[in-house]
Amino acid sequence: MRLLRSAAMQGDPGPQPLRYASINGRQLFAMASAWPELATGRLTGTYHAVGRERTQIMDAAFEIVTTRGFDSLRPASMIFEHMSLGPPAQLAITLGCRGPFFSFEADPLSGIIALQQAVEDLEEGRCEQALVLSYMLEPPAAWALLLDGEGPLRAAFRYGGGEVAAVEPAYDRDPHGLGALIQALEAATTGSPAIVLARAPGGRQVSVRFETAGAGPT
Amino acid sequence: MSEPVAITGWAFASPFGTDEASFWEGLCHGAPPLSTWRSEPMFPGLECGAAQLPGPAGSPADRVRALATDLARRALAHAGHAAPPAGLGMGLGSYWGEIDYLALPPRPAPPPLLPLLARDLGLSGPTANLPVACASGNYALAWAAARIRRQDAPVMLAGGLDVIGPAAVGGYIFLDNLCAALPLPFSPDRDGFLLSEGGALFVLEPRDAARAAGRPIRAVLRGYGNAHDASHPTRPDPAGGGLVRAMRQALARAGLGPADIGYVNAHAPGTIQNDPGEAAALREVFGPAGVPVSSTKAVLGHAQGGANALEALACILALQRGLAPPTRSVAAADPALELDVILGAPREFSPPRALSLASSLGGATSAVILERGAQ
Repeated sequence: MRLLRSAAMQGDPGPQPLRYASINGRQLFAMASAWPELATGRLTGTYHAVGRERTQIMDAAFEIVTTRGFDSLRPASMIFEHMSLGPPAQLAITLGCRGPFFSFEADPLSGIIALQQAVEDLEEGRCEQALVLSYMLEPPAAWALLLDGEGPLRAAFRYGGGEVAAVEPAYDRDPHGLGALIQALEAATTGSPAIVLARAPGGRQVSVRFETAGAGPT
Repeated sequence: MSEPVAITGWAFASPFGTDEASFWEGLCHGAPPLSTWRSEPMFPGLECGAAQLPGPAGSPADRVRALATDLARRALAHAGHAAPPAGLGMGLGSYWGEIDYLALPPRPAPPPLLPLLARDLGLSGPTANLPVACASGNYALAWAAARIRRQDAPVMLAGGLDVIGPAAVGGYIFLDNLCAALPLPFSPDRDGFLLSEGGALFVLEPRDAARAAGRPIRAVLRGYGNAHDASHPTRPDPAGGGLVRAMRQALARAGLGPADIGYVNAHAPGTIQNDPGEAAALREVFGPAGVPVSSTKAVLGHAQGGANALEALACILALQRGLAPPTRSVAAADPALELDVILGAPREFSPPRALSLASSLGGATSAVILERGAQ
């Protein structure tokens, strides 16, 4: 496995709640569309980590409906912007990502679960590269990373306890944990093994250990 | 890692009720149980024809939580688990369950669904909702099966469910997706789908471990595939590209060929736009030999995130009986589709494997292959 690209972006909240989703979708698009690997025609999977922004998006739509009426949401493309699937699906459409498409809602485990699915699909040959992404609305931000199945990077996922010396995401700024995963992947790419542990209320937890083959465990 | 994934139990709630006999009778000989769904006074005039669950009303979030909890407990009992097993996880497919509410003042947003379900059901293993719109249920089955195959969990609950709420109704009205009278999948007169609600949860376990524990192997989840049309936000790829990739991936994972599939439960909600692309995909994968196809949405309606789970159940019951349910309400299939559509009455089929297809708004596609279990 190899980390081809990664990006994290803090955004502008925009003029009103209605625009939050589309603004963050455009941020994602701006990030990923600049990556030449996505224009190569390789079969690309899309893996979306999502959480409470689903309700925030819907709140924005309800606010519009109640203040301006349902007709203000026409045409259909406007509805699409108010679905959590909208930005990642639009990205897949625009960039021609024809491989597996997943959306995971499991805060604060969404990011690590999305990454696990991406790694499995790369390992099992269901896609040639994997775009993992998430965005949040308040404060607006977006993350994206692109992996392929080549290279010495390895990821081992584990449910339940047992991992030590792990980094935990800062959930207030990184609610799906993708920012922490990007940092760990970047570290492992340079030869520093890293562990990220994501924990949900009630004791559910997932960890991932990134290593570069030949670098040795910590 | 390649051990087959057994389905050892299930529970469901459908517009035809919660018992298998009524459900199967409805699929094979019934008509859509029509009602009229009306929104709250906040949205006057927001209503549609619908197939609703019997039972008490309530907010969508409350109903989804109650439904998920009830289905999970009954499914575990059906599989022979007296209590939630250690490490139990859940792959849920619900698009509207957590968001179709009115959170504007004075109402607060409901708490997140998954932590509540984890607490209610004692979930300590992998747990996620996969909100992939109309394909959510198939995605949840696929992800949960992968957790079993990867030994991330010894037992997984998996499936999908949704109830009807104002956001869903408003969205589908605006997309002109709803039928005027009856859903008519594959018919030249099709004009939209009937909105419905409900769903199913299945218990997934490693087949050999389930057999050793004396649990019934009611069906086997042989393969699954997922892809994206990468075509258009609200219209499926007319060539069915995403469905072709999903079906071929599922067949490859199962080590099967098209001739090993005896029946296809199509996505086919009854919309004008869906059927040509889905038919093209089926022709591409199954070739001139074709495959018997039907749409159970003709009677069940489109239960949103719950649709695929109810369709997986329809496939399993069909496999147990060796009979594929027909596309009710449709007298003749659109000849332009060039499909072997099962009409009128159930039809015998073999080999004993069924493939269930799903497409979502936004372009995600999914295929799940189910095989008859040891009875």
